[in-house]
Amino acid sequence: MIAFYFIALLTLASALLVVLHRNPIYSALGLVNTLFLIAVSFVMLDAELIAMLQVIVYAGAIVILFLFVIMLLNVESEVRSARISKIGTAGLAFVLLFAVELAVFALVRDPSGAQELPAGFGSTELLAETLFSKGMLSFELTSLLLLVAVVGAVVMARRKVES
Amino acid sequence: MIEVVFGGAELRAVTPLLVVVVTAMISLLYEVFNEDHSDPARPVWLSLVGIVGGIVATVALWENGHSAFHGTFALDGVSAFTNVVCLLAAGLSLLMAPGYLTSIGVRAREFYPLVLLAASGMMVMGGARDLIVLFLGIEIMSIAAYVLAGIHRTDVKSGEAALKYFLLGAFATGFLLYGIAILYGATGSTGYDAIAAALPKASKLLVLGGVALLIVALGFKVSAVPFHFWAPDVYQGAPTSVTALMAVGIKAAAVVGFARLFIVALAPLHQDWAMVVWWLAVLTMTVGNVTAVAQNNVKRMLAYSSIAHAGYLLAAIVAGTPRGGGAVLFYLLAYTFMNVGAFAVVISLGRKGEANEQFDDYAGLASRQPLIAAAMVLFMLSLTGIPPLVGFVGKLYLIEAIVQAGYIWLAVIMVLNSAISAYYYLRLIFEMYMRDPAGPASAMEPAPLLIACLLLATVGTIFFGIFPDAPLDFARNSFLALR
Amino acid sequence: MPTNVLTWMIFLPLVGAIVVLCLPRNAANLIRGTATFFTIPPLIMAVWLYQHFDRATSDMQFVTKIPWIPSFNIQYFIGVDGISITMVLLTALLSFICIIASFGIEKAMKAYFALFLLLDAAMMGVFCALDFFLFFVFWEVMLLPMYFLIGIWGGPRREYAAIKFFLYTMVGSVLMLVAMLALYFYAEPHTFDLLELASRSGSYSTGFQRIAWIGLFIGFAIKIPAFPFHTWLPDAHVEAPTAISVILAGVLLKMGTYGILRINYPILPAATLDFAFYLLIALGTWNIVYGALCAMAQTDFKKLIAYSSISHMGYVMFGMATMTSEGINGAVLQMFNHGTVTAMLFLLVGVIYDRAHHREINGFGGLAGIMPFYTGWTALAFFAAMGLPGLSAFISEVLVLLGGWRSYPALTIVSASAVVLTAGYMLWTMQRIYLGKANEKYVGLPDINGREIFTLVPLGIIVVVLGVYPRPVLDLINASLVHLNQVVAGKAQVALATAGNMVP
Repeated sequence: MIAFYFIALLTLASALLVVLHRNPIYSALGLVNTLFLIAVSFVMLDAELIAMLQVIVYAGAIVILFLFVIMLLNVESEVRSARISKIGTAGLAFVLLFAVELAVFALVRDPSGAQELPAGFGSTELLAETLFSKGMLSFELTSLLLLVAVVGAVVMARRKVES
Repeated sequence: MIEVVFGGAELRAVTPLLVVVVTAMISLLYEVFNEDHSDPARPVWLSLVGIVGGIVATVALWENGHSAFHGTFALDGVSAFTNVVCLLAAGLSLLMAPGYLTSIGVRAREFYPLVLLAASGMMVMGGARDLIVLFLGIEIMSIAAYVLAGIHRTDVKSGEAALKYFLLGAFATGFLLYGIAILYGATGSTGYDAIAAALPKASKLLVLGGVALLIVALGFKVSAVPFHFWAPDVYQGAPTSVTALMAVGIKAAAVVGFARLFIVALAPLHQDWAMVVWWLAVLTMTVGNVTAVAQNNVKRMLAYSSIAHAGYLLAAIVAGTPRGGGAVLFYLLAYTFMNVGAFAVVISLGRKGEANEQFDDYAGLASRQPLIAAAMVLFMLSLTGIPPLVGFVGKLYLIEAIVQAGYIWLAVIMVLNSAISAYYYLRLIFEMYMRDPAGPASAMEPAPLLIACLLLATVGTIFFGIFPDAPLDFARNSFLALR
Repeated sequence: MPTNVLTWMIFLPLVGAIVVLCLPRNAANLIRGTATFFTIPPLIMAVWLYQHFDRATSDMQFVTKIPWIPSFNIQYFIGVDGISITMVLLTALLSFICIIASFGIEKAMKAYFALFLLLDAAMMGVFCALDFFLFFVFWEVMLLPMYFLIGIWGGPRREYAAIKFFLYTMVGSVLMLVAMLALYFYAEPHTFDLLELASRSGSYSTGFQRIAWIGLFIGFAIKIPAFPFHTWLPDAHVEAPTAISVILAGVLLKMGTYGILRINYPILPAATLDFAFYLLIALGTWNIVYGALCAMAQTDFKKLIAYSSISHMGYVMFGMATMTSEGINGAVLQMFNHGTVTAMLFLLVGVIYDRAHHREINGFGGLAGIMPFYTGWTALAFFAAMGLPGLSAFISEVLVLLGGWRSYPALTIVSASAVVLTAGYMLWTMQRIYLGKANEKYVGLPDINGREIFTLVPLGIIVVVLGVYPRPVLDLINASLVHLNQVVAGKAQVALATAGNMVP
């Protein structure tokens, strides 16, 4: 339990780093850290495969892409305005709301919600089985989602079409 | 042992979806090899084939009580109705697109497949019986919609609309996922039936927390007050044919997703969420209508009016009965015809370089383009809820469901709201018929496809107003069959 | 023809509207002729109805009943009894007259006549409908042509008047909608059939009846218009073109009282009895007095007539509320008589407005010498409106007051004394416009012409004949009203007895 809170706090801290740091490179590195710590949480939840995928896909591939983009574009450090904008205030309010909600969930723990883990939980085999039986539609729909995202990204990123 | 289930039921469930998605892909590939860009209307035809194919497949294959993929998805009456409404909305917005896109200088031909993909997301939402599937449907639809909103890339407003829509949409997605996670944590499942079964012994606190987050997330998607702030700017900034799709198709899919989740999966908690949704509905319709009164831009007025209509729809969900669900479905059909029609009129008045979206631009329209003005009168009256047009029957059915469930005050608030709405709908009629044109009367001939769109919308608005029986019965029975 | 005659009367004008829309835009005489042509058959059918109507029974006659929207149990159900047939006759007559009175319209006349015919169809439908849903549909359909007719062809402040008219009526009708649905659900099995609803009236609890009654009443009261919902009327009348004013005062206002008699009375008898004693009678009296006082203060000729309408509609409410056979007979007769008399008044205002282009009462003087025939007609109409013996309104007002005397002596005295006010403002107006020194500005005004006289003659004949011999109308309505009175009194007794209350 203490380990969980420790990891959770660290995750939160690095997530804050991502948002708050002025230098985009540091932000990206903070993101790697966050994602990695989430992977650690997965391990603690007996979901080793997900943890591995988390590290490989997010920390390994996606953030590296981010870093490439940052370097290619040669982004300068952001000049931050001093005062907190309206959106910042709204965001802060939401954060507080969530904090309260989380605290309530954490304090008022209801044992009936917790369930026994089935045998082989978190194994590659079980995940595969779920994906191809119960989750088959979701799995396929995810591919459709990716297609839409790719098409969308191309449309938005393309230079203006000449007539 | 891995047991892969893909039999007749599964094939039946996804066929309409496949028709639409495959058409979208063919259309994308076609554009890769197509060199001839002379006729802007050409890609429309292929997309329309997909739309019609999707509707035909839906009509041929639906079946009440159907369920596939371990109960995560279904092509039952509700999703069949949703499919038809969403495909109709997509089809009508495709019809109004070619001439309009050319006139504002958008040449991105990905527009057409993207509309199809957005429609496929809506179809997924209509049939979803599992939170994960619902989430994926929302995302497929939304991502396509973000891009569509920003497809007019040289226009600052369009870009702003897309960005705003994207950021707030991403925000809503966060809420949605968080809600799903909490609900999953409380009930141990994401399937609707399993959630309904597990609710009685689940931790009430966790469940309510999850439901609250889901309400917020879906509230964003249906543009319910106080989660509506994106809607007017996005509706105004996006190209009008996209706005029509957003105001009708996306709203329809989101409302059906909302209705199915709350009326089916969360039925045991009706007492708990009804009050929250009650307030949401009342706020949404009142704020929507009152703000619409103050608008001077027709597109913006229609945006606020669509917020108000979301309130009416939510009010029927409050009833929590199959009757309420049926009313929602029928109203969506009604809303599709009358609202798409209104946007088609807005498009038909735009000319190269000027949008003509202010109320003043409509002054004296009756003398310049009598037929279009008459069509607009029909749509406005139907939106107000004047018999014998379809909007009246739809509203009547909503109120009936609300009254029957015992929410008399909600019904009273709703009808008073529709009296407020009469003011701004009439104001447009007033501009068209009782003011003299401000500028020189230069009438532009609307494109043939746009005329087809207007004609379809007009016929639908009148025909289903006088003979609403078939869709009414269908909508009611399909929700009854869910129980 | 016998069974479908009402359907023809409703839908022929609608066909006419479509035909008119298809005519060429500048064929003025063709459009006028076609529009007139489509109002003649309903008039002939109305005469036929009058002859073949069975005066001995209170049942619905000439009934047509076909399912329309089965999933809601909605029917196309029409028919007439004694109350509605008088209104159908009035509508058919006034529609024909007003089409002729509209020949002077020149702006977008095709649209004008099409909308007018649509309005005609909707009015017929309201009076014939026996299914609440159908009634509501016609009620709402009527709104739109009226809005356009005032808003496009009206006077300088037409926009304001039109939207005010629309919004007032809209608020009323949405409340009516909720009450209608409440009734629908309260009846088991659910139905919109007005006769079915009435036959089950004994089973509705008093509390429910009161709420539903108020909802319906507000909807109808706005139309009557009863104080304090009357403020749209003067604006609408002042701005509306002559023929539309005639329809508005002659037919539309009657829909409010007709609706109360057709729906509130038989379906919600216990609440009716309650509210008749407290609300209806008070509003009726107040309408009579307040309308008359306001009329006295007007300087605009048309506004004066509008306020006199408010006053005269008060008699209808008063008579209805007495719950005596004299009172209620008088009320319905008054509805018919007011329809004819006020139609004459508005037509006459139109005549002078067409010539002088203003309606300031103080801006005329001595017209009697310049336009003697016109003055003669006006005198007839004014005397009728005052309730002079020998003219139709006298009979109905006396009947109303006789009924009132039995139930509410004190209020009857108040109402009766308002007759003096009416005479006062009518005679004063007469004096200012027609008598005295002639205003030389108007010396050359032509007298009333043939077409105008043609529109006035039938009304004048009715006013005189019914003043001497009211039986043609009273015979029509009597059976239905006696029945209605018994139903209300009887059912209300039962309902109140079961609720453990005493009739006050």
